[in-house]
Amino acid sequence: MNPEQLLYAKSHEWVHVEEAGVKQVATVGISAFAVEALTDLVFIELPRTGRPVTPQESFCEIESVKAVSDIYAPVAGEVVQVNDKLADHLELFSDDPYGEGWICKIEITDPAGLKALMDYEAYQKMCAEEAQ
Amino acid sequence: MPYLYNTPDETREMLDAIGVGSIEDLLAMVPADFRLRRALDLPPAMGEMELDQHMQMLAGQNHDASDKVCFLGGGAYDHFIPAVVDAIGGRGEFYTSYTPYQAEVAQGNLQAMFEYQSLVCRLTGMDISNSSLYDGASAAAEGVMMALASKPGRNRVLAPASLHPEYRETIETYLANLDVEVVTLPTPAGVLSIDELRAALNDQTACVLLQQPNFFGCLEDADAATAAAHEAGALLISVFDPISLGLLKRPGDYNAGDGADIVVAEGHSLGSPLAMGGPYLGILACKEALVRRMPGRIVGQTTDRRGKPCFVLTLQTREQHIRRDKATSNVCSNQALFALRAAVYLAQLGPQGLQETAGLCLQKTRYLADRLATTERFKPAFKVPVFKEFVLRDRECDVDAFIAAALDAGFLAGVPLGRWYPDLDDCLLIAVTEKRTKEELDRFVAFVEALAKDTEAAELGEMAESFG
Repeated sequence: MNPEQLLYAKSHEWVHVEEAGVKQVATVGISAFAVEALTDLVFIELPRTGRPVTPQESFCEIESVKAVSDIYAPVAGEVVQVNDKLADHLELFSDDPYGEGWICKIEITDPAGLKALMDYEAYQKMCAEEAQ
Repeated sequence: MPYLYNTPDETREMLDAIGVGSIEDLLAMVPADFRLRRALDLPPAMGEMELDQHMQMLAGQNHDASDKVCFLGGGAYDHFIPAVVDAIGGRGEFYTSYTPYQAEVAQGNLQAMFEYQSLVCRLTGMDISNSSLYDGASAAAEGVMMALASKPGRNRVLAPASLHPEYRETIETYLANLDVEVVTLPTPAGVLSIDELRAALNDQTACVLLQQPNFFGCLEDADAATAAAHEAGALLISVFDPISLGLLKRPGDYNAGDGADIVVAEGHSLGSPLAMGGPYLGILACKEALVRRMPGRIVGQTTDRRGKPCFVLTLQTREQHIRRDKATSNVCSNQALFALRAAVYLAQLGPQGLQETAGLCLQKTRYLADRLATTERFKPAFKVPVFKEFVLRDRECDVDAFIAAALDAGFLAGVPLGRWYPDLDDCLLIAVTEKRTKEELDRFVAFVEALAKDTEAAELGEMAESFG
């Protein structure tokens, strides 16, 4: 996916929304900026399929050598698919954060959360401020 | 690091630095009810020699396994400790160091813990061991917390009545403020009924605890219990006796290698002395899949910049200092000295020594159980094979009087079960380790037989008087 076409949360998750018939499905991952900040990743605890999520709720965890970080749901919905490959291939996060490194797909039940997300430009600006 | 007391000036300096007026102000948050509002009840100061004599006099009032024949068990046992354990465990490098885990300066300590972990894994058939917890009871509770964390949505814990009652109490304390139900399965026959276990298991059950040999010394059907737990999607937590693994199947080999998921034990039997209830050693090991839920410290082997093998604390993101409120446990320490003693003990005995020790416990226990069962006073409580402990019913229903009489005759006779099991208040739990000699066992049997005769004579005397 093209990072410039994605939406971003303040907590560094990216979101790509697709129409699936009458439903909307959000693919979620974490940004290249976040992956770099986390340094050496050692473990991800993936969410379970079927798990309901609400915006800003921590729904999975990623561990680096020195810390454990939460990954927050950017929208309200239900986890319908999980990228099981990640568990044994954490390098996908750094190799292809916006493609093969996707974490899960969430079927959106309430798109309200999408309004709080930033576009690429706004997110880049935020990262630049954080990096200072 | 030298130990220095704080002078009044230093105390003042520290109080000023943190902005507190006095030590009293510092302790202000401790509720008044919990404060000792009087001086400690100590006699006036004594000279060194006088103090030494005074302490010897106090110590002399204790009954212990060094001057009595000890049949006490129930979690701590009078096992033999080879001299090498004290020799190595008493070295200053091990004996006084506090949390020596800086890899740059503590390779020796870290390697000792790594060896302990390796030995525990071989002993139990598990993939990973931590470097120890406080004691067997807290290890059991931490094992339950691991199981609950790894089985989200399941909130039932099954514990047979044959699990050490104080372990169950500890587990209940840990779970007191959580929405978890601890179900106690009765064990009237001395062991868990597998049919009852199956009936109690459901899709809400996170784990089953199984003690082998159990609190009564009896051998459970560990294979069937493991199979039943796994069929229901629950974990099997094995509470084992390290010495028994010289003879019994390793928990990792239960049910044709299906194996327990988490194993916990009181490691006191491995080279630690009986000392008024502690310090003890909590052993905890598990299958690799559960390692991220494992509490406590884990030492791992890696290579340094020059490619030489070295030891470090590893997988620290599990631990509470990093994971904070998401950690499985708040344990951030271990029983390094007693883990070291356990490692030295196991290394000294080796597989054959452990097998011989376990064999002696089994044979001597069987001998005493059979001999006591022929006395008029006692009968066996359960008809199940035992390892190094067994339960006897007192036909006189006066266990306390028997224990008192035995103490006068130089025996620590056993543990009365009534305090935990109302239906066993006429029962005594007797443990026999490899240290008990045949002469001691025979002497104890003779004492029991003589006691019966004395009682009979006294009763006849009373009858004669009443007919006077």
